[in-house]
Amino acid sequence: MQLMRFARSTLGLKIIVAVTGAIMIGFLLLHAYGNMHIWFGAEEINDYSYWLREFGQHLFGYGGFLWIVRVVVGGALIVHVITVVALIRRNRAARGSRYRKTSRRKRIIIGLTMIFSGALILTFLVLHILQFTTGTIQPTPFHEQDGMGIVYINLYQAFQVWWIAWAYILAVAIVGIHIYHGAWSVFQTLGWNNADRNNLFRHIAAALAIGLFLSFASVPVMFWTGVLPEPPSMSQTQQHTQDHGSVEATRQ
Amino acid sequence: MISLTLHIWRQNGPDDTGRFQTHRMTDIDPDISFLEMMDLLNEQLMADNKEPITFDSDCREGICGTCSMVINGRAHGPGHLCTTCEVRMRQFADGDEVWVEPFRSRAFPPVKDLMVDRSAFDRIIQAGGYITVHSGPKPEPNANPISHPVAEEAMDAAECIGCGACVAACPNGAAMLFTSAKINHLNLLPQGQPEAISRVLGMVDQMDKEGFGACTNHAECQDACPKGISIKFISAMNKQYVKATLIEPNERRGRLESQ
Amino acid sequence: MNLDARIPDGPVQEKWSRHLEHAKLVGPNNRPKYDIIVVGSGLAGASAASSLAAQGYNVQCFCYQDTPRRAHSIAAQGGINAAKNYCEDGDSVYRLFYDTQKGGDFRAREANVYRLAQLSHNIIDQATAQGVPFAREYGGMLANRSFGGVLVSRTFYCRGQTGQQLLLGAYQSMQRQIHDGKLTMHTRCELQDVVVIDGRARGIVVRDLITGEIRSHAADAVVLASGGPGNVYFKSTNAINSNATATWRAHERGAGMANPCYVQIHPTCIPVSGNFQCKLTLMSESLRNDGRVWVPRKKNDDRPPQSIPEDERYYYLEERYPSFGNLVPRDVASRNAKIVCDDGFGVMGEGTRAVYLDFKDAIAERGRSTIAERYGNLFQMYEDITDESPYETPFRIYPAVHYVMGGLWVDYNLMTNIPGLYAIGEANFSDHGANRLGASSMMQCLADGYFVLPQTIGDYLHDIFRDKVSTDHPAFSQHEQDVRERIGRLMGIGGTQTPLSLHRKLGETMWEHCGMARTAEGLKQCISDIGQIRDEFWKDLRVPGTADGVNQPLERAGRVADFIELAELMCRDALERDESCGCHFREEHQTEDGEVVRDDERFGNVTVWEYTQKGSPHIKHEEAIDFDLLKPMTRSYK
Repeated sequence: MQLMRFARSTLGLKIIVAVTGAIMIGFLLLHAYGNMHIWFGAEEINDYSYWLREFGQHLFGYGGFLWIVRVVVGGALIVHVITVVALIRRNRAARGSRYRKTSRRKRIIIGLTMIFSGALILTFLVLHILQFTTGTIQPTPFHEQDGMGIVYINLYQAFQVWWIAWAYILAVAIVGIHIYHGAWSVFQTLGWNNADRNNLFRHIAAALAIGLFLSFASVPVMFWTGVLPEPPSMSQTQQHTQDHGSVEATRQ
Repeated sequence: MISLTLHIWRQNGPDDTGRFQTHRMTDIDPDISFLEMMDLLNEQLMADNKEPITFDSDCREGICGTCSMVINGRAHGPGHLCTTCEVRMRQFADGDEVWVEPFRSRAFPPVKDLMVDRSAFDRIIQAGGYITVHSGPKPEPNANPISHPVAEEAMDAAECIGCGACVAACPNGAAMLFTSAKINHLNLLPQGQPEAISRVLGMVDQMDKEGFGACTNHAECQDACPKGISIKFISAMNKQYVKATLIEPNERRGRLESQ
Repeated sequence: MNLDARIPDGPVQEKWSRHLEHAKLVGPNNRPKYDIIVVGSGLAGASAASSLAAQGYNVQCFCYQDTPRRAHSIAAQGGINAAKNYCEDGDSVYRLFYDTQKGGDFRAREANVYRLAQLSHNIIDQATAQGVPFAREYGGMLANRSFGGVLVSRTFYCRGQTGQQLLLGAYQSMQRQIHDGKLTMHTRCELQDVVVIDGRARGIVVRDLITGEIRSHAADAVVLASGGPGNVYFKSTNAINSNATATWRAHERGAGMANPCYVQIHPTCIPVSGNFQCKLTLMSESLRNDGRVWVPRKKNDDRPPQSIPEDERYYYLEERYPSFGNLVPRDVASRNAKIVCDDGFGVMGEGTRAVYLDFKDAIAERGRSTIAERYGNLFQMYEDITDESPYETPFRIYPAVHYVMGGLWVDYNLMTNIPGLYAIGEANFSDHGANRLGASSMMQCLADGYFVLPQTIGDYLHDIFRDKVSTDHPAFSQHEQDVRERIGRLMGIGGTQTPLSLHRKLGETMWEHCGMARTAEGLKQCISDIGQIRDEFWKDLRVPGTADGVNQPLERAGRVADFIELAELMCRDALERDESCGCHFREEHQTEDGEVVRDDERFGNVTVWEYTQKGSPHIKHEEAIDFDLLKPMTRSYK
């Protein structure tokens, strides 16, 4: 009953938005960590993509852990969006008539545009998954092996196309902006904020926003500028996979 | 002496749609207050056999919280840490155009012209913004020492004048700053502890019932607050709300639940 | 007119406790059968309404504001006195009694003042329990500061917003009773008449300020807590809507008006700056704790204050009153400011009369941060208004009308001479004599509301509930009719002058002739001026719009009409009190160095005025004051 009361109140809804947002920030940090493997070449990133599936496989089976993450983050995303929509409806109703003239501080532009940045990010997210995870849309050919995309080659090919590279840079910039307000809001909404910590929290939010932006944007930038070399041929990749398999075998 | 063009919101009653009316004021002494300028304008309107502008004001020294205008898009006008009645004409430049509107929010229904109904705030207080005591003998106050910083922080929250500028300035028409200030004033003090949980539950529920919006952490309210009340109190209220709804056992929620 | 004060027998110290022991009570099961109306929701009204409702009575409270929390008690800044003796500096109940009696220049009832001093303890306990965040020392104990007219530190405070916090405490208690359904609040309602049936107060007629509806409310007792009439002077520190309508209409229905000439002029206000000003802003008296008052020794000195050397500064309060210095009572400080300005020593900035209140020494001695912590909000307020920072340049201050000690006559139970009609707080006359000391108005309001009235009202109520009266009684419709006619008259004059302009005229003549110094000649002039203003008012007033909706000029017109009547009575009272006492300074009665000279033989009493009928002069009555504990003496702060 208390849970229902909580989930119906504006405060409860806000806290749900904050918690689900925090979960997604956590996921982004993991994702960014994974992406960084690419700086060290095709082998590293492809290894990582196997590792993701092998992690905890005794408990969850091959790829099980990854599915748990996907369910948790996907669930958080759905709840985040539904709650935000509910809050926006309440807020619109509460606002009533609009002022003829408003004068607002500049800082809050980011806050006021959360809904737009959120919607853009949601669109980007869908396209991103369709492109690199499922291969449903293929502006550039999608290479697949062992039931999953081959990360390095797919990325390389995609980011040789100028508009895809730019679209990704723009998209992750929007993610950064959304996180700048969102991350600080998590601290504020969950009740950790006070006058002494406020600056720290603002800095953490800024660091998260900039850090995530740089790490995500580095991928298209490095492929586009050629810092990351053309991928090894398909056969080399297969060779590598065999090696990888034998390592697994040795371990077992 | 300065001259201004004033666009003032006129609305004949809650059902009227309302419109702006433009007035030109000349030879305004920059040392007079904004409301004295409004008084002068009303005197002129009456001299011209027109109906004067209805607006709320009482103490005219920034403490009663009665005055409630949005001047040029800012609740309580261009000043910082001051109410409309404390705004002086020297804060405007000669030839300025000034837009004067009422506090707008669904929970503050309009009454007439610039006057709105803020009784929703009273109902939030009725839902728990008090400490239950009778006027019989009380313990000696010094028997329960309160450290200086805690007393000061409670006072920071208690300074709220209930003017509603936080709601007027909030893009979502939220009353979080008001409600949190009132909750924290009492919940910070040892005297407030016995009813702390029912207080936060009751007041937050009532705030929702009145139709106020949700916080999106813009801190516009803090900027508009004539008493400089910090949004840290909103944060503290959230924490107490989580504790009250999800952590405390049912039997501790007090009399609100038994009704 | 029955003016039996019903002061209990016995030594002064025991009167209140004996009175309580013998007071008649209403049992808890019977209290819900009684209806009580409280008019006004300031400290007195809110505390009375919440306490009565908590006891179980059905209470209806009325205020003209949009919420009870906005009553003008909220503007009280400095603090509230209590004889707690926390500072161990020689304070006691007797000392507080002594200071208040002496401060009031021996024109208050001893029994009332002593009771007030006794109850001062309970107020602090009550307010603390309600969550009023009084200033605390680092050890967690309550902090004190000192105020004018006393030699001890007994003032409790919440920064510069003590009134706000105390009012919020009372307001919150009210809201709790509203939540429980014991108290009904009628906001944006203004009292128009008191209904007296068979000699007893039975209800009121109000005007709903939003719909314009004229409504009656019946009750078993009516409590007026409607504040004071300082706005008679147009420019005062009162809220612009504060008015005397409730007390004046009660007076017209037979309640005696006592000592209306006792008007406190507060010494530390921001000087008048222009013709259009309608409100003066008070700077808390607590500033005189650390600030030093001075004027240049040279007449019409127009140098900026910083460039006037120390030996050319006239610290007139410190020189003339060495033992109290800057902390002399308000009437003394105000009068001296007037004298130095009259003599040409005033600071003539921008054509205003003013003196300096300087924090230079305090900042040098205690540091800017300490001063900022103590008075920061007041400094800020001053800077917002005048555009000058008191940290850099001294405050310019001048006295302004602040409080009226006179009011409806009440007995020891706080009941007026109309049975069932009570007056509490500033609306009554009882505790402050001819001058009120700082930090004691809130003390009186809360003592009346929390502790006195709730325990004395049973004495009247216990035997009346069998003959209940409802609003169906013809007297109510008759009163409503009177009110409608009166409003119709105001609306129908159709002249040229606005209520505000007539109000300003009234204020100007009152300030000139019935202000800080009064003469027989001036007062007669004032009475004739008032007669003229009254004629203009009823012939040439213009109220726009209609009476059936929000109409702020109409509200003001009704108030000004009553101010005009009251002003005349104030002048008459001032004229007939042919002595000086406290704030009532008749220039004919002063010592060589300008101190007041009382005439205890002829005027050691309370003047109570009885209203007869429209246009006829009031009848004067007197209530003698007994001095058992403290004999009147010359009041010296030298």
